[in-house]
This record gives sequence, C-alpha cells and structure tokens, in this order.
Amino acid sequence: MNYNSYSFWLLFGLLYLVYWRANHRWQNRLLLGASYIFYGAWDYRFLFLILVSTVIDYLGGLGVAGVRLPRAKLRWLGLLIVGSALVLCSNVRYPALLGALFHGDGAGAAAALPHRLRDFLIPLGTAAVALVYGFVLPSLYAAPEQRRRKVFLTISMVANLAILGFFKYCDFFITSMVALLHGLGLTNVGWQTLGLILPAGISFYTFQAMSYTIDIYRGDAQPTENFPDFALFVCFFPHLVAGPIMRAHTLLPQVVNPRPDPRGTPAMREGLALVVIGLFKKLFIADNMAPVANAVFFPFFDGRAADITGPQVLLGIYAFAFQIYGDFSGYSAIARGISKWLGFELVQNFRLPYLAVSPSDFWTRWHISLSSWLRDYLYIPLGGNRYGVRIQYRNLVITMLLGGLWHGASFTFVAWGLYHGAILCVFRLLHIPDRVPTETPRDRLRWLVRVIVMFHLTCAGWLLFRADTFGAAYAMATRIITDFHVTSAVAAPLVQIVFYGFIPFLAECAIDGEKRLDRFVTAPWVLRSAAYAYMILAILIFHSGQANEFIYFQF
Amino acid sequence: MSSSTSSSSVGAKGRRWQVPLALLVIFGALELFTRTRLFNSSKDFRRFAGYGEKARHLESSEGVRLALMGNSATDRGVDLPTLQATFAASGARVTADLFVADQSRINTWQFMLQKYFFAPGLHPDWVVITFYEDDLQDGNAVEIGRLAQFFTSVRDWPSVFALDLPEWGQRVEFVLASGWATFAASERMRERALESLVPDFRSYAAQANAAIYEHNRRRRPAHVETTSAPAPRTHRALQRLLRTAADHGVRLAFVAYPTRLDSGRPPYAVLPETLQVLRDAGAPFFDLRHVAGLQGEAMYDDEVHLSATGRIPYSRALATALTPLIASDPRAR
Repeated sequence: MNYNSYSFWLLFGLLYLVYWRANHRWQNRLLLGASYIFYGAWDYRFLFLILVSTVIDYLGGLGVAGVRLPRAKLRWLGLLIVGSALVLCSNVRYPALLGALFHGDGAGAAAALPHRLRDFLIPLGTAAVALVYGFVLPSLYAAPEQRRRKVFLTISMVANLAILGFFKYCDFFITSMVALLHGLGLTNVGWQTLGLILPAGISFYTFQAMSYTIDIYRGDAQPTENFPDFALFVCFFPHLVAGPIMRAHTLLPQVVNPRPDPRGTPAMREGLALVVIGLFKKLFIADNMAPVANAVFFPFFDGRAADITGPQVLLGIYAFAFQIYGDFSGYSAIARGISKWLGFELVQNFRLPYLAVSPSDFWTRWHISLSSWLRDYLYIPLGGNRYGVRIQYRNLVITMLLGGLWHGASFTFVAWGLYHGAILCVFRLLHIPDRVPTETPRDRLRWLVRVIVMFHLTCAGWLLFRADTFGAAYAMATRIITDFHVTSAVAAPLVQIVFYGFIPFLAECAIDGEKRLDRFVTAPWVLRSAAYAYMILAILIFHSGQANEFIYFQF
Repeated sequence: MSSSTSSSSVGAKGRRWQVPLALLVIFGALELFTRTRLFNSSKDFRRFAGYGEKARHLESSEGVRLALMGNSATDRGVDLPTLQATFAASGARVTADLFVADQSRINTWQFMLQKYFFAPGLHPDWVVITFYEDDLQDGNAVEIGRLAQFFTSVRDWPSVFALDLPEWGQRVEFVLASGWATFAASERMRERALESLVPDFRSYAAQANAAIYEHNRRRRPAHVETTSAPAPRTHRALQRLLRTAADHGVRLAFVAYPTRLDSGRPPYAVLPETLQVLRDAGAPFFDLRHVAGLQGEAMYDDEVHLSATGRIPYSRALATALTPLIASDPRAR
C-alpha cells in the first residue's frame, strides 16, 4: 500500500471520516489499527516482527527507567506476542481457510491449518523466549540501578540489531563469506542464502525504537506504560516505512497527549500543500526520471553499453539524482502532510540538498532525520570531535560507513558511505567552510561554483549508490572521462531532466524546500491557484504509466 | 467588535474558496477544451465519433454487410477497394467497412461490438475480427480512458469490473475516466506533449524501453523460466464476446493476421485453447499467418504493420479466404 495508490487514499479517507469525531483514546486506537492494516498490506507476517520490536523496546524502556509492570500485564503481553506468532507465522493458508469456511467445507478448512511441527517453530520459539524472559525479569529488576539500566539497554539494542541484522544482512554475509572463501581457494564451500524477504521499512522503525530506549537511558525521554500508545509510536503509519525517523521526545508526547484539531487552521492548508508537493515530486519528478536513469544504468550492468557516450552517462546520473530526491523527499513531504491533518508534527527531512556547498552542509539537508540520528547515537558516542583530528576523522568514516550499510546489504552502499566519509574528511582537512556568503555578486558566483562542485561530488556518490556492481560503476566513470563527445542522443534525456527535474527544483527554492512553506500557504490566491494547477496537471498528465514503489521502502 | 470579528471571518471564509474555485474554473476550461478540441485532433477519437453513423450506413447497404474489426494491424492492413473488388470478381456482392482502434484487443472489441452492432436493426451480416499473437487471450493491457469514454456506459461497468479490469486501481481509474475526459485522455496528452517537447522522443523512448526490457529479462532468475509452470492462458473475455454476440444474433469470424517473418523465424502461435474456444462457439477461423507473396521488407513497415504495397496482396487473400463464407449468404447474390 503506497501513498501513490488509490487503496491508501481510500483507507485514509475512511479513517479521517471518524478520526476527529473520536476522543483522544479512540483516535490512537484508530491510528494503531490503520497502521497495522497499512503495514500488513505488504505481507501480514511482517506484523509479527514489528510487534516483537515493539514489545522488546516497551519492556526495555520500562526496565531502564525501573518501572515494574504488574504480573497480569506481563502475562497479557506474553500471550499477545505468542498469539501473534501463532496467527501470523504458523503457515495458516488464510485465503484457503476463509474460502473453505465460506463454503462450509470442514475438510478444506482443516487442510488450510498448520499441521507439521516446523509450522509451529516460530510460535514455540517465541513462547520459549517469552517464558525465559518472564522468568529472569524479577532478577533483572533486582540488580543495582546502574547495572539494571545497562542490562535492559543492552537487551534492547542486541535484540533490535539482531532482527535487523538477520533480515537485512544475513544473506549478504553468507554470499560475502562464500566469495571470500572461494577467493582463498576453498572452492568446495557452497553455503546457500536463506532467501529472506526484507520487511519494508525495517531500518526505519528499528532505529526509531532503539532511540526510545537510548533516550530513556540518557534521561532525554520518559517511558510510557500504555502499551497501545507505545505501539502507535513505533508503527505510526505516515512515516513507518520511509521516515522521517522520529525521536521519542518529539513523537511520543504527541501520541500520549491530546492533539490540537487542525481543521480550519493553517496546519490543514500546510498539510494539503505538503501532500500535493509530495505527490508531485514522486509522480512527476521521480517516476519520470526513473526510465531516463535506467536507460543508462541498466545497459552498463548488462554489459551492453558500447554505444553510450560520456555525456549520456552523466545525464543518466543526473536523472538518478533527481529521481532519488523526488522519490524520497516526496515521501517525506506526504508523510508530514497527512500527519499534520491528523494533528501530528513530523520533522523536516530535506532542505534543498543540491544547494549544499560542502559534504557536511549536504548532510544537514539530505535525510536530516537519519544524519542527526547517526550524529547523536553513533558519531558523538564514538567521541565525535572531542579527541583530536585523527579520532574525529576515524569517527566520521565509521559513522558514514555504517550509514551506507544502513541503506542496504551491498558493498556498493558500503563504498558510498566510505566515499561520503572520505569527502567529509577532505573538506575538513582543507578547512573548506560550510557556509559561503552571498552578499555581493562575486560572493554569489563563488557560492554557485561551490554548489555545482558539491552537486557533482554528490552525483559521484550516487553513481556508487545506484550502480549494482563496482564493475558497472567503474565502466560508467571511465566512459565519462574517456568518451566525452556530445552527440544528438543527449538532447532527449537533457530536455527531460530540465523539464521534470531542474525547473521544479528551481521552483522549490522559493519555499526553501518546505522550510518556508508559510510563503506558499500565505501567497496571493492567484499564485497558489497557479501553483496547485501546475502540480495537479503535471501529476494528471505526466504521471508515468506504471506505479513505482518508493525507493526507500527497500531500506 | 462583534461585527468586525464577523466580517473578518466571512472574509476569511470567502478567501478560503478562492483557490478551489480557481482550480474548478481551470479544470472546467480544460475539460471543455479536451472535449471540443483535443478529441477532434486525435485521429483515433475522431474515428470513434463517426462509428455509429458508419454502423448505420453499413446496415442500410446492399449485399453482404461486413464489419472488419481490429487494431492498427487491420487499419493499415486492409485496403477496402481491393477487398471489395476481389469479392466482386468472385461474384459476391459485399459492402465492407472498418471499425478499428489502435492497440485494441479482445476486451475493447467486446464493447465496440456491443456499442455499434448489438442494438436492434444494426446487425451486419458478419463481423470479422482480425487478431495476432495474444490479442484474444485474457490479461492484456486495456487502454482504460478510451474504453471508459467511447465504448462503455454505466450499464457495462459490472461486466468491465468482472472481466476486463481485475485490479482495484484500474477500476478507480475507469470510473474517473468515464466522467472526466481530461483524465481519460491524459496518456495521449502526455505523448503529444512529450513528442513536441522532447527531440526525437519516440525513438528515445523505444531505445530506453528496449534497454529496460532486456535488463528485466536477464535478471529474471533462470529457474523461473525452466521449472515454474507457465501462467494459465484463459479466454474468458473471448468466451463472453462469443456468447453475447450469439445472444444478439451477430455472426463472428476470426482471422489470424500475417506478421513479418525474418530469417526463417516461425510465425506466432495460435493456441490450441483459442481454437477450441472458437470451435466450441462455431465461429469460423481463417489462418492467414502465411500469405503467399507477402514476405520481404517491402511488404511491411515494421514487424506487424503492412506497407502500402503489402496491404494489396493481403486484402486479396482476406477476400479470397472469406468468399466461401460470404457466398453462402443469400444477400451475396
């Protein structure tokens, strides 16, 4: 279920019909139900994972804060998690079961139920873990305070990272190990990958859930004893699968406390503007830039790119730069827009990243919620810039490398992270400032040159990010250098990049990339009407034939 | 104080309606422009507007009344004067006309037939449907806007939803396109705009699509091709067409169309399941995949479409194939 699908807007419309008629408690229940429907629409089994993550961090947060739950509530949580495993992960063939029940076919219904021992492995395993946890919980609470806090934090971190690591990196680890062993001459090693399906948005909600326990450990947030409220904090659907990654101290109070009704206020109009801008970015920019980029990246991957020239490669990379920006910032804008309609305020995730003048400036504008998460929970705990230049550079590289790996289990993502770590270090080493004055025409020219240079450095990173293999990335990079002659073949992609990517990007500068949305909302009605008409017409007429998933769902 | 509050709230309320009202005016004007100007500038859409009149004219014609239905292959492959001259030479009196829609297939032909020939007093003697490759099978893409705007009414919605548009999103688009011409024509507007905006857009798009298609084909795991069972090929839409035509007393015949066969490549297959469905309904089938003298580059503009040279022998071959069917009709004499 995507924001660019009719089914999503039907679900949202139905939810909204009743949402503001309900009291705060029922609003949260409605949102929780809608969030589980939204997430379960991908694959209902993923709901079990998100529930496991929720229970782990719920108990972890309370444990760190020293809050004991009544035994009855603990039992209820145990039953909930084991019951969920049984319902969601025991290979019940629901379509067949429902069909058989509908036709009164008892034998068919029985056949659709699980009957092998291995069907019950996940529920049995979950029950065993729940029992052990319930058994050791009193002794964990009995430990000295500092030790108890550390133990609960460690359990929460290990469990979250284990789930993320297993689903996201297990197959990557196996294939990498096999390749390494084959490289060392052990060619008889033939481990098979597990063929795991990556649950949508697992990196996003895992990082958010982790930040909750860490914030409580640091004293930056208070835990909640209300499990449904906490579950809503973890799975709030507008930002569930592709961010922005929210912190406990920002989002949890909005869940726990009654929210202001935005209807009839500027927030409603801001929400509308964000939704339309987001859909425009996704359907007009990203979906139309995708084939332009694919037409260059695919032939290089397939080894059929002999007739593609350097300028065409460069345009393919530009197209991907606009595609990923439109795709991801479009999702974030829609998430923020519908959250505003629901009375929530999500953090801004993008601010004209291609106007950055340095790598650190870029990371204050691109996927702001992730870069600030990495800064606060990784870079600063590693020592940040407190222990000299060498340690600072080491920390930068480690942070960016893990940031790259967060995006996906592939060495090209690792290389992308390392590359960004490296250019951050080089800019710091050369003392290149992150701000450029723009008072005089000469300053503005300098600023423009810096923007163009940084855009191309970013594009070099996108080449690593988008190319499926190093070989393809290398071939594309060398083609730009060795075969740079302009032919008539560049005209079609160039015009499309200007039409779909560059012109809208210039228009976005007027509102400083969502930061000055008020300029749009309070603009003269003629201007707003023209802007809405342009965006709606662009979506209506120029939407690509196929509905593409958002790129960041895979992360 | 109360009056100033009241007037300012009325003002705010008034301002709140300015943008929606402006958008309504803009989209209303665009809708008007689409219906009055854009539809007229499309060759396809212009033709559809005249089909009702053509159907009535055909019904009142002398001899055997033949409606030739199909897509651009039929449109560019049949030369009506040659066809009629060949019939005349064999002694059969025939009046034929074309009812075609570019890139249409079985799902669209159902509703074209329903709209133009199922009404009482509008029955031609034969409707000849020309197809190639998988045109008669289920699961082909349907041009939703065209189907909604030109060939269906609300009465057809249950049938369309049941067989032709199985996905929820397609159905929503169909309903929107039924009442909103701008939405229905958006795909064509996009093509027109890009063709005028982007230099050499058609050949660029063809190259890009070929690269993407080739990449997807290569990345498909090998075991999918070798071990998994092929998707079932069903003919529910064809069966519906045959059934409803029989209910209305309209006789259907089917012709497999020739395509260019380079370097000894075999022609496309007509599935045994397709032939079985036609046999079960008693619908005549003519296999014109091989037509003598219809090979070589001069005969085709591309893989499928016949050139001006190629359409003459094909039209003769088509008339010759249909003559036994036509000759048995009392109106032919």
